Amino acid sequence: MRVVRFYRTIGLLLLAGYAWLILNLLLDGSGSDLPRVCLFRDITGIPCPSCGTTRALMLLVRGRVTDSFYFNPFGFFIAIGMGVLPFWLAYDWIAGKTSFHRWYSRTEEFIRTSKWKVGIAMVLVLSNWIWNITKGS
Amino acid sequence: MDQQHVDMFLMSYSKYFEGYQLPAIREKLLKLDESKMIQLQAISLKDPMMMLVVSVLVGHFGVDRFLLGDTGLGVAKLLTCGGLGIWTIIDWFLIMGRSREVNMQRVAMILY
Repeated sequence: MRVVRFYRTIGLLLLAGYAWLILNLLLDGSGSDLPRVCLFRDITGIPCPSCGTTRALMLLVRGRVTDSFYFNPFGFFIAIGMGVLPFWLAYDWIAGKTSFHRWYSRTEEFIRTSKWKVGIAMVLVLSNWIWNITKGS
Repeated sequence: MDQQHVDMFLMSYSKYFEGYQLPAIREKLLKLDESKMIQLQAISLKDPMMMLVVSVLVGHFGVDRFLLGDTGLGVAKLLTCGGLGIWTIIDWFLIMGRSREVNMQRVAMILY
């Protein structure tokens, strides 16, 4: 993937993520709910592995860490990404560097070459999914 | 490589690349050393149509992106409910092109 396109994709994802989070925070408690966006859940009726992440993030913003973990631990990963990435992207943009892209490529390569770590990650994702289904979130 | 082998390769894999890339691939293959033939057969090329099926069925979990080696995007898709469902749908349209792009990159590593 070319570098410019890569940065554009990540920037777009971040913007969409922040827009979605802010919209949810603004509408929370106002009575008017946003539409549910999970295709998998709409079709099968079963929550997907990342269902509940928006609520987890909203709780994190309000400082309720334990409740957030209960909704979906994925919220923490997203929070780290959404917290760090704007600064990293801004740094790369201002300094004219591609440090994030290099880090990203190295990490992808690392994941590709370490099969057992991917296995562990998959087990974690699956157990989180099972937990999600039993919670019925 | 002799012409028969090249034509055979192109015939079986023509759908795996963009149409405009085929003449260049053919030209390069004809000049390719026989010893690289095994390397060429060993690389795994992704069938764009198969990737579309994967994308429609389990693209929501980022599996399509994982298979193409876009691990980072796969993780992002998995963690965000398939990008709030929107990215999943966008990828139904993008994934075939991306598969061809990845195939070209893999073949180019041997050809160039």
